[in-house]
Amino acid sequence: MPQFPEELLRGTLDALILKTLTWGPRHGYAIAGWIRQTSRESLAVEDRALYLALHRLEDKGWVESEWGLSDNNRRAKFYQLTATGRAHLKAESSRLARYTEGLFRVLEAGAWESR
Amino acid sequence: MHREPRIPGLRRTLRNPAGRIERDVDDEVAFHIDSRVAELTAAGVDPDAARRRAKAEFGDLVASRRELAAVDRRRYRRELIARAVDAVSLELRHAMRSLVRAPAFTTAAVLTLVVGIGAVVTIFAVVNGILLRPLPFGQPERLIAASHDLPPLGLFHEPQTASTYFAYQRLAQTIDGIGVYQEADVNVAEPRGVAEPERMTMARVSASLIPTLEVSPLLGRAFADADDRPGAQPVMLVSEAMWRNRFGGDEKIVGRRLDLDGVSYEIVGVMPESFRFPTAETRLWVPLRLDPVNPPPTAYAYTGIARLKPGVTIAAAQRDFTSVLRRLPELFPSFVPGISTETMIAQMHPQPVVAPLAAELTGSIARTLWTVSVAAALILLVACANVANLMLVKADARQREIAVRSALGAGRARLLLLFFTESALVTTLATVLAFAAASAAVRLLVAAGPLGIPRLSEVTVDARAVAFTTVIGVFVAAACTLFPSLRLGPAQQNATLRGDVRGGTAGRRQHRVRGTLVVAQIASALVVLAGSGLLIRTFQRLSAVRPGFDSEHVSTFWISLPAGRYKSDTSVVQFYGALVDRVAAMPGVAAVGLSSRLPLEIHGIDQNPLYPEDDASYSNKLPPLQLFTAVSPDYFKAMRIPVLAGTTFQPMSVQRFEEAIISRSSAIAFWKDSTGVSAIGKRFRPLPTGRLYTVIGVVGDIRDTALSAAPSQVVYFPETLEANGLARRTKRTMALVVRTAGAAAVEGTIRQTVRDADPTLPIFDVRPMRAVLSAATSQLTFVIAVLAAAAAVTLMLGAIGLYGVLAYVVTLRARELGIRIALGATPGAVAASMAKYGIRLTAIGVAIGLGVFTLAARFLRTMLFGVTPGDPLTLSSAVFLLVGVALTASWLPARRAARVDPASTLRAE
Repeated sequence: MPQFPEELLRGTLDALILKTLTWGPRHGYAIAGWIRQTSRESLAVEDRALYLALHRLEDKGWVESEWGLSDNNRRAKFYQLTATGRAHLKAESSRLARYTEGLFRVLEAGAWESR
Repeated sequence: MHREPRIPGLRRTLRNPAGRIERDVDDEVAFHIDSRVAELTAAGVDPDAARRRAKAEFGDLVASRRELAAVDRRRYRRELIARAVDAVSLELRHAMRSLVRAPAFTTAAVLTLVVGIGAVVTIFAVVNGILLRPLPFGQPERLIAASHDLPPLGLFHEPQTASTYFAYQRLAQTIDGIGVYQEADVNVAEPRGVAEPERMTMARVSASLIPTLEVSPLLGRAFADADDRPGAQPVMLVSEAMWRNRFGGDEKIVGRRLDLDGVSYEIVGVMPESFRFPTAETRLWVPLRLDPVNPPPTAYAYTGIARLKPGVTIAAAQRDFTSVLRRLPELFPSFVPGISTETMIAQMHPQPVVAPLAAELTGSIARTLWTVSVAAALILLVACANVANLMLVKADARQREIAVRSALGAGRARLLLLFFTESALVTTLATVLAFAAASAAVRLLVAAGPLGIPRLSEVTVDARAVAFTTVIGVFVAAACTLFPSLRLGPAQQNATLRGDVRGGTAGRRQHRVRGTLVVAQIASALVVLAGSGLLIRTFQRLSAVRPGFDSEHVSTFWISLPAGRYKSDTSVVQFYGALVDRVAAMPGVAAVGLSSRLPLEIHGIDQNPLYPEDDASYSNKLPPLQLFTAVSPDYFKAMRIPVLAGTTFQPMSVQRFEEAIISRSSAIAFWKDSTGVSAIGKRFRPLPTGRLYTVIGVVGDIRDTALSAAPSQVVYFPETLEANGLARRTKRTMALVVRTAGAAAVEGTIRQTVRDADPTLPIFDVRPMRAVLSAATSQLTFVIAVLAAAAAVTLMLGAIGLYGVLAYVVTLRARELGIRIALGATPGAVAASMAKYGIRLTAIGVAIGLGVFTLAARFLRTMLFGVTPGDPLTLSSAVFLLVGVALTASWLPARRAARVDPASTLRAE
């Protein structure tokens, strides 16, 4: 399993959560499921980390929460993207894109040299 | 929809939100686990295994819950604060707008509070500087003033004699040291006489004094015991101010020299600026050089200060000193020549008195300051009441707004905030202005304050004054909030919404509040008015006192002839004789005399017993003390003190050594003769054994020590040429007393005359005698000025308060009054019913005010002269003045009530 630096991991997780919420409000379980599926289980994150990230995002004001009813009529906490959250996501995605681009360039250059 | 930001109610804020937060976290986690279990089970996993797997996927459940709850609690707290800030800033903007919209209200409220807060802060700064701040010495709480009461002489808090000082120093067990000092003036000149000589205030101190006070010199050293012996090399300490101004802060000042009264002294050190001892004017200190083996036979002349050992009480020190004093005769058998210590103790019954130094230094002014403080506090009280009243009026105008806001869910806290923000804004503005005004007032007071207030130079607006001002500001804001919010009951809100307020029935509660405020104002006004009335009467009585001399057109000039330059009495008398002759010949001078002391001044007081010849009654009891004064023959003429019998002295060149003139009360005391005739030719001695003097004249009494004190017994001696070097009474420091014909200006010519005679002599304390007289009442006039101002302010504010309330009631009841007039009531009857309300409030206020004043007046007693604290004339004048003003304040609204037009008020419904 790839070992990501802690900060990068957290930033990535935040970005993933915010991305998930761009399609509308959902509860923590739904977010967890989506991340699991999209990353094809390659980003093995503990659910604990996910929830901690969610609450921190709420603390930062990037998401807000409201209690509602789930599909099976249970009380569930729904998270929703705020305007500042959306703006942050935009900035963060381009930063991540630049980072990964740079990372790949370095890795490929190394491969060429060793050839 | 716009949601009004709410301040969460008190109960909700205090309730532990953690319960809810943790429950929510638990629910959220449980929902996740349950959902995952359901999903896995649906995929065919065994339920138990599914649950295990879901939990494993989640991670440490306990730690998660804790972390999540911590994040949420942090967020909750932050939101609470943010909401409160929101609400307050909204309220602030609201209040600001509302104050700007009502400039008259705002100005009136702010100015009223500036007066009240300014008065209190100014007085606090003074009280703090003089009474509260510790003395600028090491561990000042352990310092005591050591003095003696001499009950048979009617003398209290008399200082030490040299022998008592040495006795306490050697034998007292409860002290860590005792020092004595004596204030003096001295002519100061550069060694080679370059700069003009200057008269300066100095203190002669024992070497033990400065260590006892625990003060160290800024530069150089303090006095050593070797400096303090008779015959030691003359050394001196200078003040920091003197060092900077006269020596330009020269680092090498130690070792330089100055001439004091013609004797060269070596400077050994510089004392710091904070050492303003005994007064702020003291520039120099020199050792007393008392002989510990043979103490000089001076009487009680040296002020004593001792340092208690840690933990020793005043009472213990008092007992210790008393037992030491009993052993005084063993140590020093002779008190003064001819009186043994044993006899002195038997006749004078000296009792040691030990008191905290701070209290002793400020005792004279403490009562005055507390009196003024009470006046200031009353001004603030009245000012607060007025502003609270104004706030009430303003709140009434907003009844509907308040009712609507509370119906929309604004809680009591929120409405309190509404009132508080407004008073806080007003108070803040007023406090800032008042603080600036108080700082200016304090500076003015320190610069031009009345003479004789101890520690006045130490008064500043310091951090403590700032803190006090802040506390007062908060208190005032709270007080001004309290009254308008008193009637925030729920019933009130409903009534307002229903519109009952127009009928005036819902106003009963605020009537009572307002009535109470007005009564408090009137009572305060009466207290201050009566207090200042009593002091004004005292001042009148004092001004009416005939001092026994005529101060009009009399100028006084002090001169001191240094011993270094005028070595013999003969040279002193020759100098003064020639000077008097020259001044007498000047045009515009009606009479000129010399005296070693001036009435009502402390300078030059010299008290001694008088033993009449052949009077056995004083063989074992002390005769009454006489003020000994040296004068020239024309002193009585210059001061217009009448010569009742006999004659005055011969001209100075031929004054006779053995002659004396006594005052009328001395003649009465010793020879039972108020005309003075039978005292002429009688002889007496200043000591039981000693030279005999013959009474050649009796002069009128003068108020010598204070206008309010009975005349002292005085013995006048001539300034005489040396006679066999015996019992010299010739004084070197004399006041030239010049009576001019009309308001002639002679100061310049007299200064020139003295300069011509001896250019090295400074002339000091040049004052018209009238200034000497008014200085005697300067503390009183200061208090009167403050109290009269306080009385004017409280009276005015009280009247405004009464007027405001009545005017408001008339507006409120306009409809009712209109109906009554329509039903046939005469306008006069309507006006009378309104005025009656005002009169009732005034009557209650006056009654309470009189009650409070009777209790408070006792504290004024020591400040009064010729008038009792319950003086009926003063009290009734105060009441009349107050009632007159109150009637005027009630009459104006009552007249308006009478003019209510029934038709228009009814139509307005």
